[in-house]
Amino acid sequence: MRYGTKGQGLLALSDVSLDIAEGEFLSLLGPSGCGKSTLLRLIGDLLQPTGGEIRLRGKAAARARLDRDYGMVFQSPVLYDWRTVAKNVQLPLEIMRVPRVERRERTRRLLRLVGLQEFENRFPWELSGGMQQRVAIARALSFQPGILLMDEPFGALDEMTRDRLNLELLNVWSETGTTIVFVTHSIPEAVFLSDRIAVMSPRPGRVDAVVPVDLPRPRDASTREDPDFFDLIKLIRSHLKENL
Amino acid sequence: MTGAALELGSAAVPGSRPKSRLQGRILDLAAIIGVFALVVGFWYLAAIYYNLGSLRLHYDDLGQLGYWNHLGFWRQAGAALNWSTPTLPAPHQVLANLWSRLDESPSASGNLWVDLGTTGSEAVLGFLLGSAVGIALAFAFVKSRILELSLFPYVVMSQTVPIVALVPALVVALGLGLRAKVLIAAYLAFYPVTVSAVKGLRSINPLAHELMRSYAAGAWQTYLKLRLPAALPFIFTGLKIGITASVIGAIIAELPVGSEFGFGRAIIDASTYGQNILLWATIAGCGLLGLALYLAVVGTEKLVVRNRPGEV
Repeated sequence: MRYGTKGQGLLALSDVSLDIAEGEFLSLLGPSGCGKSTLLRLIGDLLQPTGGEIRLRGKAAARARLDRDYGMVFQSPVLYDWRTVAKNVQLPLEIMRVPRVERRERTRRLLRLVGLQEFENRFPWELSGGMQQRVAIARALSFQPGILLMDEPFGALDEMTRDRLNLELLNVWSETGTTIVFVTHSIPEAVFLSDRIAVMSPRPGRVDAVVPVDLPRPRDASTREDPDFFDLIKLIRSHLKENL
Repeated sequence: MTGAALELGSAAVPGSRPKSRLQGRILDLAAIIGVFALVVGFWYLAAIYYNLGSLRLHYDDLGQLGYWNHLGFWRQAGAALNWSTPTLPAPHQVLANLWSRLDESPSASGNLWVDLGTTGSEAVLGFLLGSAVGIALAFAFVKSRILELSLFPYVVMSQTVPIVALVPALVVALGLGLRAKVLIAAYLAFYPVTVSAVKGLRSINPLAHELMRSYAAGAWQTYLKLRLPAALPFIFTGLKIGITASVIGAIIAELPVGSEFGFGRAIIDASTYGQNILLWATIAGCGLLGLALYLAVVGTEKLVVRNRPGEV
């Protein structure tokens, strides 16, 4: 897949082939510049590939975007300053013309799911970074997209907050059953969360290995103490080293 | 030694003097009153200084310089502040003039309410027209690169043409009526609105656009839910400059001889007949009109642009 201005397209990704199962939690892991964010944007039809194809439940990516199959979460929460927490969560629903009563009902449920029910009338800038990112997740889930695309959503948070939000995300994932594609450059985070990890390397971006993570679910803090957890981290680290 | 260490400690804590809200309010009020008193005091001193000089010449002309010099300083100063044809009128003379013009018969030119209403309505209509044009231009420029490249030079050039040269031309073309004045006020008001609205519409986080794209939002929805609200604080900065510019535009447009009402006509009258009290009272009136309209824009901003960070 190439993208960029015509003629001088940069080869960002080559020969990437991935199948993602319904309801799966898949991580794209790799160093910066390996094209993992690019791949995520290609899946979400925020960028167009110069070759190859992306299909979601048999649909082309562009069709899937128009059908509102994608929920996006970025590294920064991108909340609208002038909207309350609840109104931010409702934004996609307003755009999709969901009736007001249902909007309220869904917002309340989602804010409860991410533990922010008491903050619905606060403004984003009154919340901590971790809370803002939880609002962004609730917003992405509000229209019940088939697949959640997350681009280093916890990359800007401190480690303690990140660990807690990892747990909460697994909880949200198991409650909603959404498919999640999760971009990260943190090996422990990928191992803790994923069913499978696509290990990527740069220049040009490619998938070197797809590592299944067979740690038992539900996972919790004790998972991080599991010897298998460390073995997987070691395995992935060796994959990354091989291909640098 | 312990004492010294304690002193160091308390000095190192930033903002270590807690102030109550009431104390803060009182300090604010004291500052406002203090500055006002300084301005008025300085004005009085300046009035004494300039009028003493011209009074001395006046008495010299009358051949009564001896009588004038015989008066003590305080009586001289008193005379300087209450002269009917001062070089620089004192604040209370200006105030008295404004006050008396409130009661003037409304049909006669010179009534303060009529002047305020005339100039004020021209400025407000011009401001509304100019702002609408300014915002529309900004949307067009942001939408189309070609439009911006081809039109923006004229927008800039329009503001470098001396307005004084433009007014007679427009008045000749459109007559002395309301139309020319509103157009000139709008002409001065649209530019800051255009510039700030363009900046505002472009100041949006690219990720916010990707988000709207992922919702498959239409162009109209993106404008309404993202671009416009994000640009509003910038637009209001332009509106605040635009409202004062439109007041100036309205007054300048009234200057050509033949206008019947308005502050511009009062300025011409006053300077033609050397009525300095009227002139300064009119200047003060223009300033107060501008301030009132500015505050109206600020009030609207408070209503429209609420709940932004840093405005807790």
